[in-house]
This record gives sequence, structure tokens and C-alpha cells, in this order.
Amino acid sequence: MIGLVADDATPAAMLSEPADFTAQLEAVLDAAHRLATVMLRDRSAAEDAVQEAALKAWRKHGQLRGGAAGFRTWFLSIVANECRMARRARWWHVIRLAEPPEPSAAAGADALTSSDLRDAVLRLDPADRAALFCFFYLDLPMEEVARVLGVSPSAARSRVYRAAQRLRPELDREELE
Amino acid sequence: MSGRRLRDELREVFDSVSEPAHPALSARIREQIAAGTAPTTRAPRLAVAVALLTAAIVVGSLLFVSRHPISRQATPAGQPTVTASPAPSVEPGATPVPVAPAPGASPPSQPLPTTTPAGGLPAFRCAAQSGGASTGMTAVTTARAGAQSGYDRFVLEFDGPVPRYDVTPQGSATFVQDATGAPVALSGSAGLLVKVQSAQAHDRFTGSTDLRPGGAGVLREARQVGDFEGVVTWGLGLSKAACFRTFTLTAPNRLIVDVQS
Repeated sequence: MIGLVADDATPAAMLSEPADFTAQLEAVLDAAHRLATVMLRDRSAAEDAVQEAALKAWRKHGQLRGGAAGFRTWFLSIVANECRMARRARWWHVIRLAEPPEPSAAAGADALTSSDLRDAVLRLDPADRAALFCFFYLDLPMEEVARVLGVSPSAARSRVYRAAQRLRPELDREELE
Repeated sequence: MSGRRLRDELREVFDSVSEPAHPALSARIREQIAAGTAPTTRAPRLAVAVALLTAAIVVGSLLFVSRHPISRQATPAGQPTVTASPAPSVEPGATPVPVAPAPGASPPSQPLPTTTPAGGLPAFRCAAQSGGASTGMTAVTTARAGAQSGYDRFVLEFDGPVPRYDVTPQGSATFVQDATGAPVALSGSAGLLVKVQSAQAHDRFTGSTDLRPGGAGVLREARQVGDFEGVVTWGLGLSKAACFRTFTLTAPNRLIVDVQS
């Protein structure tokens, strides 16, 4: 809200901003939407979360400092937060968790282990899933994973490690670094 | 099983599990940002604020009601009971106005007790009034009369609970001496007859049985006109016909008759 008021107060200086902002946003929108679907396991809920996060980011983007990489991490952290709130707000997520995972298009061709891994990933806690997703799929450095999850870097590291170990119990910690 | 292997496998899994953003989403976001605000986020906040405000008002009024109980004194129905005016205000000829002198705000130099029932005073009425409870014999210990602002007060003090009493207005200041039947003329042109059952006033009574409050009040004189066969009778001589209120107080037990001036 405060950011919005500030924007209104200086409309001339901000005229070119919406275009800049949406350009930056579109560069990270795919990653954000994937993160939301990984966390929420529901496409329309994920879209809502990303949309809500985009509006919040737009209102607060005056507070952002530091380039395109900074924007990406910052926006992903808003999306992750939005997903957490959406899960908290939805009483029916318990029922959704009980649903069998959707059949995979990619699983058929690959070995059985891949399908097992997929099931194991879907059984993880959403926050753990988000950690794995940021670290392995988005290739974010551990510091940025921590910022997206809103935790300290060491907490993010152990969360990624523990989640990975749950998938592959024989995994060594060094192999992740 | 190496970390690299896990990384590759996880990428495949996440690829299939997650979905890229639909182009429509981007368009929707752009539209909303161009519009400047997100109206959907405001309505729930407003609703929550209204709900909280309503709840606060309800809780507040419940607390207020629970702390300010409705009159404990028997008062006529549909009548406000407590006013917080520091001085009793009585409009001449007005219909009942209950007044409750604030504690500690009693007018100076007046000999009468000013404590009032916690629930507020009854209203002034012009018809006969009665009250008290049927008990055993009670002794009248003293009688007082004095002027207050807005009314004149007559008090009978008892050594036990106030017995059954009747206060009856009459058109003259002449009363009948109980037992003898002799007329007793008090000063004034109207009167109130205060009759107390199951009481006597010849054992423990101290003070005068003929009181003249003086001043310009409506109560000109109060005289005991009967103390016979368990009935104590007082006559109040008034300067004009007036409405009055009766009530009782404890510690000590008192019957109070306030005559509206």
C-alpha cells in the first residue's frame, strides 16, 4: 500500500515503469509459475498465486535494489510466500494431498525408478519440494534458494540435503555441493 | 548414485510436474498492473475491518450493560433509572425525573443522609404509595425533616427492617389524632399521611415529634399524629399539593418520603 501511494505521488517519474516492470516480470514468469505449481500442485491455484505475487511485487518494486538477478530471486520469494499463504488459507489442501498423483507423460518411456522418484517428490513437504526445485531445476545458488524460501542459507542447505536424502538415502552431502 | 545423476533425474521430474506460465496469465498481470490497483485485494480487508468493528461494538455494549445493571429498586416500568447529574434536577410540575446525587457531592449544611439506593431513585408520583415488608414489631428511633434542592425530605428511622407503610396525599393539612380522634391542624394547605404498621414510637424514640424544616420549601411541618396499637402515624403539612416518592434505605433502616417542591 505504501509503495502504491508513493507511485501515485510521482506519476511523471514512474510513467515508463509499468512496461519495464512487466518486461522484467515476463523474464521470470515461467520459473515463478513452475515454482507455484510445484508447491501447490494445482494449476489454477498456482496462477492465482503468481498473479497475486505479481501485483504485490508491482506495489513494492520501489523497495527492490539490485539488477535482474536480484529481481528474479525477489519475485520468486514473493511467489513462494504467496503459495504458503494459499496453502494455509485452503482447508481442502489435505484432501488434495490425498489424491493420487496425476499420471505422468514422461514416466512411461523412462525406467520405473523415474516414476518412483516422481512419486517420492510429490510426497515431500511443499517447502522441501520448493527447495529442491530452486536448487536443482532453477540452478539457483544456495544463498538465493535461502532468500526465496525466506530462511537462512544454512537452513536452506540442510533442507535441500535432507529432502534429497529422503529421495536418495545413500546420497552424500558433499555430492550436492 | 551421484549428485549429478539425481540432479538430472530431478530436472526431468520437475519438468513433468511443473507447468510453464500460460500466456494468458502474463496478459492478465499486465492488464492489472496497467489498471494500477488490484481491487480484489481490498474488499476482504474492508470486510474484515467492518467485522472487527462490529464485534468490538457488540462486545463493548455487552460489557457496558453488564457493568451498569438495570435498577435494583422497584421503579415504574419503562423509566430510565440512573442519571449521573451531580445535583438533583426536578422541573416543576414535570413528570417523574429520577435523580441520583453523586456520592461525595452532597450539598453542604443539611442534616439528612444523602446516600441513595445503588439502582437510582424511584420517580415522583402524585398518587398514594406504599411499601415495606410485614415483619414483627419495629421501633421508630428518630424522625428528621429537611430541604434539599428540588424536594423536601422526611425520614423515619427504625431499629429493624422498615415495616409495611402507606403514604396517602390529602387535600388539607388537618389530620386526626390517632386514638382520640381530635383534629390536628398543621401549617400548610395540603398534606401527606404517613402510616406505618407494626411499629411503635414510645420506647426508643429520641428527638422531636413536631418538625418544622423552615425555609421556603413545600414541607411546612411534620408531626407525629399517632402511636397507638402498633401503628405509627405522621402528618406532613405541605404548602401546596405536591407529588412525592417513597423508598427505603438500610444501615440504618430508614423510610424516606421526598416531596417534590
